[in-house]
Amino acid sequence: MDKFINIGLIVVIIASIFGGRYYYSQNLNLGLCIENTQKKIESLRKEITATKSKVNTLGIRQLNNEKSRLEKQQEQLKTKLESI
Amino acid sequence: MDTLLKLLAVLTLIWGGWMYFKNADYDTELKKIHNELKVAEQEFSDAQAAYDAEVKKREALSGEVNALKENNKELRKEIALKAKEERERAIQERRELLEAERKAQAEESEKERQHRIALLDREKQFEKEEKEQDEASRKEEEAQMAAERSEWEKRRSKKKEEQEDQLLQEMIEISAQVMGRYLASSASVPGDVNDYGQIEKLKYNWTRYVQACIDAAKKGDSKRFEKFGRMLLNVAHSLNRVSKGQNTHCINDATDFLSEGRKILKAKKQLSKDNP
Repeated sequence: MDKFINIGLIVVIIASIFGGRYYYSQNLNLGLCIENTQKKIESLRKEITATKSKVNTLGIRQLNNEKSRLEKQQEQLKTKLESI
Repeated sequence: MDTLLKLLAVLTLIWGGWMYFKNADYDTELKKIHNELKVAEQEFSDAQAAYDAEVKKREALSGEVNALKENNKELRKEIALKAKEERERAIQERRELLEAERKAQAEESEKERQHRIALLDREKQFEKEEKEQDEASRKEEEAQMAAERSEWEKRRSKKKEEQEDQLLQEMIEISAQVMGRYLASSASVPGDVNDYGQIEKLKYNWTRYVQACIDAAKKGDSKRFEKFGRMLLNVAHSLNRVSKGQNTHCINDATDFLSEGRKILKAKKQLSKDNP
């Protein structure tokens, strides 16, 4: 009886070791994966910030101002042309 | 041994179970992080899309600005062209106006010139007429003056002749008186018979010189008068000498005669000076 118990204990031990080893390696992979994903998220957030800041450097406001100035100028020129 | 096995089995079981549960936690965390990643990716794609939209908007704005610039440029060109045309038209109008003004001025000046020429002609005609009238009046005046002058000359010469005649008459009278005195004195001249011819000669000379003095006085020739006067005085001295100092009155007579003659000459000179 003890022999069977011992065999059973040994099986449990072996199974636990292999199972633990499997989950251990899984956990390592998952840890690496999580770390990589976090890095990726971080880089994405940086990219988002950079993209948002890039929008400000496009000079849309200046172009709008320039456009309104040119439109006013065009009106003035048209008036001047009609007055000649 | 059994205990050790049991302990080992428990420990390995605990470790295996712990690994299993930890794996479940990792799974949960991984799922969570995946969700975060998806959200981040969505945000990134949104940001990228927004950026692309802004870029497109910028391109569109840039295109509009460029189009406006071109349009304004064209408008400026058109304005410049129109202004140039307007300026040329104004210049042309001004040129035409100036030309018209110049023509009008030229016509006006031509009219004025014609008018001036007509005025000058009239003035010349008037001057000519005036000149002719002046000439005629001058000639008339001259003729009148010449007539008056000739009349005056005639009167003057007549008067002069009368005065001269009167003077000469006076002179002749004086001379006659002197001659008479001389003749009276010469009659009483004492002397030899031999001297008689010389006395006659001197008397003849006396008469001649007196006559020459009278002629010179008549002509107004004072030089000739003085010359014959000196000779007459010499004759008087000779007569006095011949009569040996008894005829000093002859010298006095000759001196008186000459002084009288000089007075006559002076009067004659004064007359000619007063009536040139």
